[in-house]
This record gives sequence, structure tokens and C-alpha cells, in this order.
Amino acid sequence: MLPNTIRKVITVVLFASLIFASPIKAIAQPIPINPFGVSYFQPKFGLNLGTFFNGEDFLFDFGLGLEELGYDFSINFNGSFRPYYKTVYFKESDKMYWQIEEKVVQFSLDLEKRFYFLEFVNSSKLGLYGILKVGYFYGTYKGLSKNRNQNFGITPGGGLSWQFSKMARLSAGYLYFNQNPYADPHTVNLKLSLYINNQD
Amino acid sequence: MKNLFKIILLVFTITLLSTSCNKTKSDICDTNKVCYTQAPDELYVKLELSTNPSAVPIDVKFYIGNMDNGKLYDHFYTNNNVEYFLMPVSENYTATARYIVEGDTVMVIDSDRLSNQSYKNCEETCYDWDDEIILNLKLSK
Repeated sequence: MLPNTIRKVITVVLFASLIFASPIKAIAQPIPINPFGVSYFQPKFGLNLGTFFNGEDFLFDFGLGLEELGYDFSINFNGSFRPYYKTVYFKESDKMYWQIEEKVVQFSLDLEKRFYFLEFVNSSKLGLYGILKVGYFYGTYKGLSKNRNQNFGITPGGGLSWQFSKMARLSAGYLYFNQNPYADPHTVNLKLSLYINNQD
Repeated sequence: MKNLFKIILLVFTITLLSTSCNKTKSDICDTNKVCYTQAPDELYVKLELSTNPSAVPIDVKFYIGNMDNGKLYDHFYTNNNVEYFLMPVSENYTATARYIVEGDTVMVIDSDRLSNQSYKNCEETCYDWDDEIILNLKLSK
């Protein structure tokens, strides 16, 4: 069996190869395009992995679903979670506070629309995106059997979207993650989306 | 053909990612390694406390299980910064400590599981454990 370090190196190299399997042949000569223009219907299966974070918090975000490349929208089922316990404070009653360890989870339907305004010679595109995460949020706490702070909510966001290959897209933007009353709602959102595209 | 290669690469990468993190001690076959064949029945739960800002003894409760549906095992007042309990393994334990901070009551809650792990060394079942778990009942601000 290979040592763990070698396996990790191989994994990283393979992952990088996968992302850049359709290389960026040229990033020069950008062509302005109509951000509201659409093509024909090109539904693809996609998966995404990302994170949203700020100075106080960090969540992973994974999803899979529909990637529509002609009309530039996505509908994904996502799961987000904080991978560690964070110390939070509840105001339980007047003059009574709890200091407790919290993890949070959110399951959401992610609706994303992209508006590309630049296209490059190799068909890579740059534009803006808007996203709505419509989902169910809850917190789990050390020492408590029941989850708390369950709520349904809408998490809006937006930012820059770069479709850098025929099967991958990178997004960087802002997400207003306001479901958790014990954390700053302003987060940075980074996301890598991969989709199966059999068109050359 | 190129896309088939991409799909194979994707499947292979995901497979490798999923298998590269699950190496367990069951892979071990080392006759020189110390192997404890008996699991401990009891281990220590250590409670770490702050000094109460109001200088009165801290109200501490210790539960077997969770605070809201577990069994209250002990309730005491202390000025110590550390308390120990020798408790059976394979149970969750929760402790709470009440502090008075500027007229408000702050209850710190922490919980963990006292457990041991077993693994195979060659053909023998061995046990591994931490001597204690720590429940952090210190005020964090």
C-alpha cells in the first residue's frame, strides 16, 4: 500500500489534471457578449464544492444537480456544514446566558443565474452571478440532545463567475448567510463547479 | 474519447479521494508494538474551570448523557480549577458550570464521549485509549 503522503500527492495531481483537462489556450482577445443573451438548452449533470467563510466562521458546501449551459443557470441540491465546534452564547432568559459548543448544518436548493459579459477565444467566459440558497438550517450542540435554531431561510449572494473550461467553473463572491443568530452573516463564497460536458 | 478520459479521470479521482482517508490501524501487523488486549472499564473525566469572577464557589453539575435528557450524577460547589471523575467508558458525559459575571449568570456547557478504540494487530485485537477526556468549562470571554 502506498504511504498516505504519496497518495495525497497523487490525488492532488489527478484533481488538478481533471480541472485543467480542457486547458486555457488563450486568455487574450476577450469578446464582449450580451450578458442577457442565451443559447439553446444544454442541460448537464454537475457537482460543486465550495466554502463560505468570514473571520469568525467557516463552512464547507457541497452539491449536485442541474447545470444549464445554454441559459446559464443551475439548480443544485447542496449541503453545507461547519466542520468544527465553535463557542457561541445564548441568551436563555433575563440575566441568564449559555456558553456552548455549536456545529451548524444547512440543506438547501441552490438557484444560480449567470450573466457572462466576456468570452475568450477558447470559449472560456467571465461574468457575474446571483444565487439564492433556499434551505433548512439547524445547529447541533454539545450536551444537548435536541437541535436548536431550526429555520427555513433564503440566503442570497452574488459575485464573479469564471467558466474557465468546458467542464468547470470558478465562482467568487459574497453570501449573506443570515440564518445563524450567533455568527456574522457577511461571508465570502468560493465555489468550484464541475459538469459533464460531452460537447467539444 | 477525450470526454471518456475525463469521466474516467473524475471517477478515479473521487475513488482515490474517498479511499485515501480511511486507513485504519487494522492495517497494522507489527509484533514489536505494545498491544493491550483488555479494554479499560473506567477512565477519567477531567473538568477544567475558570475562577469565578464573583469570587463565590462555582455551581457545577455533572451528567451521564446529555444535560437535557441525561442523568444527574453529581452536583457540587467548588473553588477548584480542576475536578476529576472516574467513570465507565462508552458513555457520553456532560458538565455545566455556572458563573456570576457582572450580575449575569453564565452557564458553560461541555460534553464528550469516554471511549476506547480497538484495532487488529496481526491476528490480535488491541485496545487504545486516552487516559482522560477534558470537559472545558472555562469562561471564554
